[in-house]
Amino acid sequence: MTATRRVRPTTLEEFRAGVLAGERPAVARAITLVESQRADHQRLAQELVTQLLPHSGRAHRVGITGVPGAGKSTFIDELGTRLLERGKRVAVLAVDPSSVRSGGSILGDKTRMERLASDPRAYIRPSPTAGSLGGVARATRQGIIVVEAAGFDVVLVETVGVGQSETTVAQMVDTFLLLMLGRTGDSLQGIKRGVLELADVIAVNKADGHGASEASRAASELASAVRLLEPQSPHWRPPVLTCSGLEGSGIDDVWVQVEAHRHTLEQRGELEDKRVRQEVDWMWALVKERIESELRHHPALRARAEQLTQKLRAHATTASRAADELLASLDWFGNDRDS
Amino acid sequence: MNTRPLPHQIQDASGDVVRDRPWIFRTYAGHSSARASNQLFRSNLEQGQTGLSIAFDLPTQCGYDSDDPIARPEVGKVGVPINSLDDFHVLFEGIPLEKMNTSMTINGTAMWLLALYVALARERGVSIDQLAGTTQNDLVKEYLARGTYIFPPQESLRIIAEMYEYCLDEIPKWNASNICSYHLQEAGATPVQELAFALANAVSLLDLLQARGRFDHEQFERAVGRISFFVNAGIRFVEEMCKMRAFSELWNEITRDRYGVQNERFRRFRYGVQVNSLGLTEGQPENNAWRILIETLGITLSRNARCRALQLPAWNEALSLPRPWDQQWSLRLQQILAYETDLLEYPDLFDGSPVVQSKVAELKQIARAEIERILELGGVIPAIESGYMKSALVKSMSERMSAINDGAQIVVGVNRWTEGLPSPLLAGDDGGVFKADPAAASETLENLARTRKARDPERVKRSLEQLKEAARKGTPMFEASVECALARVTTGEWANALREVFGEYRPPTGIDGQRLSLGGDRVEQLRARIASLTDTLGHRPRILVGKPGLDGHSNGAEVIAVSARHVGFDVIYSGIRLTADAIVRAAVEEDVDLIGASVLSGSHVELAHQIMTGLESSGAKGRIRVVFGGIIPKQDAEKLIQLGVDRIFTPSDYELMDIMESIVDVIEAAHA
Repeated sequence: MTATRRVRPTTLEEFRAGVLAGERPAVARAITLVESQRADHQRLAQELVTQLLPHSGRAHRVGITGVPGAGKSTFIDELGTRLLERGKRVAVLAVDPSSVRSGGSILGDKTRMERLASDPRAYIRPSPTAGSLGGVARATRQGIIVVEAAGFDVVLVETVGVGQSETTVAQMVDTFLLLMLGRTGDSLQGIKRGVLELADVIAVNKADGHGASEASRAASELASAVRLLEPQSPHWRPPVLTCSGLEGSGIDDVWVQVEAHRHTLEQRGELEDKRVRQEVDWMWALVKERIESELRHHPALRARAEQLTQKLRAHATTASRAADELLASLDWFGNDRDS
Repeated sequence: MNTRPLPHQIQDASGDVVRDRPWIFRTYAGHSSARASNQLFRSNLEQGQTGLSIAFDLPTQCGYDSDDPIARPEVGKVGVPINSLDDFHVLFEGIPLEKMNTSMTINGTAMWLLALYVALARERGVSIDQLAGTTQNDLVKEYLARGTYIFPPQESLRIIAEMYEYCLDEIPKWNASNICSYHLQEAGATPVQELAFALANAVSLLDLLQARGRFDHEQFERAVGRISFFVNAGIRFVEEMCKMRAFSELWNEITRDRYGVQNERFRRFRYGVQVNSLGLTEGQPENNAWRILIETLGITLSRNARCRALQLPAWNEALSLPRPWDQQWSLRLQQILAYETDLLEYPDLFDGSPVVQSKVAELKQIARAEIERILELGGVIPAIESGYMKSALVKSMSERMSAINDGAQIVVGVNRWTEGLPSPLLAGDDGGVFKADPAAASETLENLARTRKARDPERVKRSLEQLKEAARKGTPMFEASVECALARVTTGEWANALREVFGEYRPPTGIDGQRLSLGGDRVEQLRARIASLTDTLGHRPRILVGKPGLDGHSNGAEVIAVSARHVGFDVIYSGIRLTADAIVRAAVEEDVDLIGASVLSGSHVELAHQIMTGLESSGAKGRIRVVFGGIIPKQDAEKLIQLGVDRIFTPSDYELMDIMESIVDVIEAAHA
């Protein structure tokens, strides 16, 4: 084994300086750090992110989701390449719920974003594989801060449209873009109504070749479906467009709408509110996660919960009475209730 | 003539008892430069070889000029580099085109190489209807197994169809393509998969020719008669013989029932063979000579299913590219079988055998069901784009490797009887392996520069514009390609012009969702070690598996990626055809712990050098560890270690869990 110089940031200051200078290896190491499960790494990561915070926040954070096969990678490749041509620096982070498992995994295939992956002005990082979606969300939120501090001015957060991951991503971005397909017959393609409600811009992709007419038909159906939903902002009604990631048509129009959305939020003062609200929601989400985890591991409570489970199994109590009893056995709720 | 021939005698059309003519003997050859390959061809022809089989280097196959940065490490490595018509003049010097049967293993750039051949004939004054041979030109198996595709499936099939349309009347003795099941077996296909995938491929091609409507029925029947196949023959030679009979019968049925081909001659299953390379071993390599002999029996014993042309690998192919002597030894096998034995004196030996009949019927039945499934998906293009066929192959390969690993499948000298006396065949000065001449590339580059300087730039520009226009409008591209050839357009320029119009294609890697069936203590121990490594690192150890350079034989890399995931690594599989820079960049950006590079084309030293230099300049050398896998001779392995590569894996490292353990060792040591 050859002895080589180790140019790895190890101290907080090295991390901070490297990220702020936009050095690629430092950014990569910092993201590994915020993803790390080790307690000492997490402490260092908290400190780092806190110090980077003043340098972040300037980028446009855009979430992109769509069912598998909606052409997300090709779309992002095309969009990202165009943004680079306009002088933007683009980072792509991915949240892949299928990576949340205990064994090893095959990480997102970067070769599907070939042009972007080979451009030194872009940075692509697939999903971390942590133990829970919450863990992935924590890492990705902090990842956004890191790439923003490194000077990237567009952050695309990609997620596949299954499970809870769209909601997770929608809660960390300014604009949420939903990619749909025109081909599958059913205009809503089994995508949950809830996802449609999260969308700020909707684009029907693969509007190319034989798909063009189907795509525009799907777009008008979607447009009427969207009209029935209550808008998230009184000042913004999600537009429905068609585009082709493969041919590159309509991509610019989609981006115009994405920018218009953010511009509207900014003008109306909603952007800052939205980001603050996201942070507050996130704080409570963390509190909830921690409390639940603490409760589940609390020895006395676990024993009591076990007894109540037996009673439930014997149909000797109801779920709501069991919950009352369980809460009553906790001092901090019990005191209140007694008084 | 007056006596009726007995059942064990062959009679010709006039009723005379005769001996069969042997198949065409080929040797797959070409290396270093046009001049060196020309000398090799001429000496092979003098040795009694009866057809040429040209190996092109990877830049030529993938449509790059020799001086393109991605091409440089590969120039002349696995075949001859051809940049322009000037190189073709050198390659065929002293070889009469009108007398040759020339097979070109060329796919993504098949139209270009045939255009060069036609242009060469024109400049020599040879009428092109005298040309005979084959362009391999099967892109389906390139997407699935071999990797030298350039354009997306639709466009690739259009090119193939246009070549059939051109050749049918202009070069009637030319096989515009060769439907290949050979490479599918190399990628792990079972006999049934070989049958089904190849026949579904042929059906999709014929469907396309019909749909394009350029042929009337008489022409279409002749076009069916031009479809030929390139098949593999493995070590289970009885089953392989039955597979060949099943192929003949199925093809006869499909062409008759699906396409209404009346003329029996056009329904005949015509095929050439190279016997299996996948099963050739690095350990006790002399045993491969027997394997090659046995595999040859599978495709020659049965007269009704005998190959039309045969090329044999060499005994040392798992060690390096073969030397001329190694190829000559294989050629001698063919000559002994054809001329010393009595094989060619008898009609089919197996007609009427209930065993053979039953086996053939079984293969046909399962294959038919699989063909139906692919056609239900919409034919081979959707089956490729959706990853259906690729996943099936990766699964078969993983099962094969699992079976060898747990001993269910015996491989002599590999997992049984592994102790043996040292082989004197490896004792020569060259260690029994081929050494490429490193100076050969510079000659090629000089010739390329000379061609570029001497040509008429206006004519080059004009001919490329015409080519692009034909590509855009959907009009035939062949004549425009011949004009490009005559204008001294280069291989890279031709391919780039079409890339501009068609784009480049990346097929699904097929490894998503694949599982190894391997279990047991070894796997559990490794998983435990990786779990504790995860605690040390704070993240699950991440490795990048990739193939730098142009070599597209991805099976090995895919099995490694699937195995690594199986034991608990996070794996980034970046697929084929990446520059060393792209691999380094991905490794740094995704902050991996280790790069596993797989190279089978012989350019491992150059590529290792590029990767290590890249890591050094991004400050990641030492932190990101590197291992290499491939056909890497011992002397080269030492060079790689000196460059800073931690481990080298060769075909003798077939134990997947050993490889995984080594990788864990390397990462652990780096964090000790």
